[in-house]
Amino acid sequence: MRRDELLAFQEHVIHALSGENPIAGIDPGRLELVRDLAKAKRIAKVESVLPRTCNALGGEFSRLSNDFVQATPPRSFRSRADGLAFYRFLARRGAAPGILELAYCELAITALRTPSSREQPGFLSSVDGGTIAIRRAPGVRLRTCQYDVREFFEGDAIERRAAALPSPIHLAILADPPVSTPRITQLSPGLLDFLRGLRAWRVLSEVMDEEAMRLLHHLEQQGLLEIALARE
Amino acid sequence: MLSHLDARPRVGIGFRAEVFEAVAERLDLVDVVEVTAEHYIFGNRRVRALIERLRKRVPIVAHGVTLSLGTATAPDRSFLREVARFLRVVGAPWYSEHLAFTKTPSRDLSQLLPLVRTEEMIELVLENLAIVREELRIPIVLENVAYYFEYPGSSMSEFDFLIRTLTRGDCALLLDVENLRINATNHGYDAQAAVRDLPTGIVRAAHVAGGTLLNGVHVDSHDRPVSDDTLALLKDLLQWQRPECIILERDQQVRDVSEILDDVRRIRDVVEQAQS
Repeated sequence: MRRDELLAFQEHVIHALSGENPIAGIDPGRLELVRDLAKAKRIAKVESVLPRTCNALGGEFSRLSNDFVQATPPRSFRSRADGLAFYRFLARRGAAPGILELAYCELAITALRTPSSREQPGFLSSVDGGTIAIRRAPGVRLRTCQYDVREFFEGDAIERRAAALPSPIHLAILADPPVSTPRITQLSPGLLDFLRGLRAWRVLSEVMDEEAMRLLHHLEQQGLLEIALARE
Repeated sequence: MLSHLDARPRVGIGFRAEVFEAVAERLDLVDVVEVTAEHYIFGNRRVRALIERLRKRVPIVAHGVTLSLGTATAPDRSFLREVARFLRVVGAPWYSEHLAFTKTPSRDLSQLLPLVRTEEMIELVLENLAIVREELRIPIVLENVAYYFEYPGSSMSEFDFLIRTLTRGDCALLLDVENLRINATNHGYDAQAAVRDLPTGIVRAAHVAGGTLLNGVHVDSHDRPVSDDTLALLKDLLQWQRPECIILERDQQVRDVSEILDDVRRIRDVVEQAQS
């Protein structure tokens, strides 16, 4: 076989093992065994990234995870990729809002724990030199929730049930400085709007008055904001 | 057969972040730790910090699980550059990977799959190995995998293919003793004869693990203590080969870290018996 023929054959094998097709000349029982091993590995990855979500799904998780493996081809060996794919699968299947909110927070926390190039000091090319500029700290995720999912993250227990709230709450998932422990904190509606507008660097004087500046320093200390002097 | 004066293999364990904080308290029981590059490259801050601290306490050997050396496309150079950085961080003497494939451009099964055993496949692996060497600039060691089915197009035996690839690719062997036991049992060949027939000095490292039986098929599961049969095969191996290290792989169903440490002691006993 030439290289392109080998590749076509390998594609055929991988597709058969991540689906249900047979491969001519190979024992179907053994194919099924490898299919099951790959499936178990994939479900374990989802559970490692979304332990609280899987637990909250209870008895439904087994059926949903089977459907997920059938419906979503494996694209990456990374657990986070399978966690994200499962979250999207749940959204497509119309999962309860509380489940999706919980899964979102777990994914955000996993992302915060992972070192990334975004942790480097931001590049301020869009801001004039010598000007104070601000932005939302990299990695901070904002989410409006109908359930207080923070309860799921208290202590080590993952077996929790959050009740629907009378009105939604706004949450930020962030890494606590200086040790970068992920944390979920509640925001006022005003603060949520303010942080939503700070995805990119902005000149401070354009967005703040003096009173608000004092608030800014407080937010920076909490790890919600970065403040920097734009480069000359 | 080897003389007892030959260097004694180091005995160690594979790094698994989930249990390593507990194991780290008994590092005095191990001579070496095998760290998988993917644990570091894609690990979170805690895992990276653990590995960097570990480096200061014990020698590290480097392993890989996602390179997919046998995929019929060129290896990802940007990933290899990440691996090269990891190898520098841990000061690894070699880099081991599997003679297998796990992915194609469209899908990543993350399951080690056997290669079609043909001359063309050996050529392909050699071409991919050349790229790996160019980026890593470190000796490459290849591991035999457990396989559960045969391809109709294969034209040579498991060990013919393995040894020809290693010899032509100038690679040493990381012999997974459990995979050898499993394959010999599942496919009906003599594991002891396979060990005896290996070219002298080809085994640079060995893996041992506990496997399981699923619907009558032996499976490499890493989820239980090492079997006596696997340790007996390791003892046979040590009569003919002198690996520099023997690594216990245990990453599933770790209810009690003492199970891992007990296995380390059992492996040491086998090494002692082989030396005497």
